[in-house]
Amino acid sequence: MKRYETIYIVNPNLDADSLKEVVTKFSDLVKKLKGYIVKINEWGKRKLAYEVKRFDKGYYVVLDFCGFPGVVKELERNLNIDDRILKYLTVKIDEEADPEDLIVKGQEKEDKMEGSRNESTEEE
Amino acid sequence: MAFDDKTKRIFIKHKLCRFCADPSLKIDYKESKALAVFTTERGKIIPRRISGNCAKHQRILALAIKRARNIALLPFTTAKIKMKEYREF
Repeated sequence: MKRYETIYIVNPNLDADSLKEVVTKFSDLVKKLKGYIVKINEWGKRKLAYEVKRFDKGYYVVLDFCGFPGVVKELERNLNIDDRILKYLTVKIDEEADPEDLIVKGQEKEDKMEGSRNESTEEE
Repeated sequence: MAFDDKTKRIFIKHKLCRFCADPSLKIDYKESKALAVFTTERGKIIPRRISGNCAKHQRILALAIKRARNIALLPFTTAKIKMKEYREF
């Protein structure tokens, strides 16, 4: 399995519910195609460096997942069809990745982060 | 006289690749602010003879900047400003 990272820009004028719907739509699609989601990172509204489809702002979402090349093809096809998506970019991060290992590692990291936060508050 | 020649000589500062000097620095296309340092005001990539990067890191950096441009994190050009200036003339 390979590890990919897809970053897509959603129409910023959508309300919170439809934004959520877009994000879940594509993460569900990856799951449906037997891909493993490592992380979904929503950056929120950001100014674009240049106008895209006459928008000067965009809602950025970073989707980090593992899967076979077919997943990317299908995901990009769907991103292309959806009118709410302004732009997308897929980058291959790793040739060989073990999804379960990555997911476990991610959780450990989060636990550590939380642990360190707790420690720092205790010190204070 | 010999002394004068030496003092007149322009001292060229040896530039070190900052990514080689600090291996903890990573080049990521998502960090647009870090990449913007290596572009001009016009949005062009600064050549390595000026930035002082080594060939290896300049290649990685150029790829990262191009990716960032593709997803509208960095501008390709600032043509809009250019056009405005042009119209004023």
